[in-house]
Amino acid sequence: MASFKVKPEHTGPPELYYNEAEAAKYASNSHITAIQHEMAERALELLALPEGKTGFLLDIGCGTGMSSEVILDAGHMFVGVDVSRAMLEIARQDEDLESGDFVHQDMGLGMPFRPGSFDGAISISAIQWLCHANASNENPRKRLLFFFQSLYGCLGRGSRAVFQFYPENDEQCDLIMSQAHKAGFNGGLVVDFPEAAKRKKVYLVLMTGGVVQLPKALTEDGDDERTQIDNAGRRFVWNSRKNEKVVKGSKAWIEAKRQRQIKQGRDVRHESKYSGRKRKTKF
Amino acid sequence: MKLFVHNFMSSRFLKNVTVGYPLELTVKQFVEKDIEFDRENMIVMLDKIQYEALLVAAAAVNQSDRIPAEKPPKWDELSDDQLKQFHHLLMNIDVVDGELICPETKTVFPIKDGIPNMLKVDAEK
Repeated sequence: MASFKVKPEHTGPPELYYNEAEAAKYASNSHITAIQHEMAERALELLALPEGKTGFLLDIGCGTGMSSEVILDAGHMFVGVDVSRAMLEIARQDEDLESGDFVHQDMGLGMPFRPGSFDGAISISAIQWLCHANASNENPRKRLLFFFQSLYGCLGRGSRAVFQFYPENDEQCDLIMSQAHKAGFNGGLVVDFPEAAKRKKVYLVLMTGGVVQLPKALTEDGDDERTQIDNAGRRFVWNSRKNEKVVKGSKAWIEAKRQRQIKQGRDVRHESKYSGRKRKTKF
Repeated sequence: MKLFVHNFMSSRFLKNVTVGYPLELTVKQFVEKDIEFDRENMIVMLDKIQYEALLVAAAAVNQSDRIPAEKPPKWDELSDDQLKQFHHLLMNIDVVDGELICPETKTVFPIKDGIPNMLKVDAEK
């Protein structure tokens, strides 16, 4: 998908983009299938489900069920949610997916499940669709937040949600993560193969409850000798702006103002070691 | 839509809904499938099931007699045959045509071709 000249989410709402023709194309394209398969496997790995136990998973933006198939192969159960009916109809006809089930819903309207339903959630190339407004009454910020809140509600405590997506830019990453954080999730990005343009894959790993260290990212040579910076990706940053702004009335602030006024050609006092100093208390 | 999905669905995502569970289910048509029985998986699922909601679903397809009216105390003590009754109800029964109804706002979510459509509210807003 990274090779598309125009990102599909820029062209319009997902339920229109993934119409019958596009859905059929999508399902039968072996290249897409292979990549989706690989990413779903990695997402499942990042979920870190307890070994040997069957999990009940949510597949968000399941499409024609490629990622759902991976869930079944790993011995788990699933419910898939997607906004494109054409995709779901193809998924339902797939005999391999018979033991799971599908629900037609828009992520931004919230997950229609009761609290504590699932042991985890995965989502392959879906969440970026939420970052665009397709109608005047849609606010991506609100939709993301509402989505994360409802997802937080329907996940069991201590479970994870892993989202694979193709971030457009840093702002988009920040937006998604700040909304996830607001909804109560902990976590951050795991970037696999950060040096390789084509193989690079971004996974947003969200956790309910408790701060747990992020799983390690994969690299080209597969060794563990990676630097901390790569692995940490971007975490939620608190008050990142605070450091930039100079306190009003401070010496630095006065000097900046003086410089500004010199530039404007105004008449200003000369620089002095006394400016900005505190006066002595009056006797 | 298989009956186990009904057990997990809630209309809490709607505005002004506090619980939204269980959804009322009306079934116009359902088919019976033959999905492989797996004891372990069934027990995992039954552990998560809300029994009252399951009884609602069983009544909607007129198969309440398959399962006991009271929740069995321990799932792993049940025999395979008993579990298969639950399996049949939860996995094999596939609602093709019907409706899910929010218990509080009475919003109707249609089930068409076996896929429940939770989007409907959007058009009404």
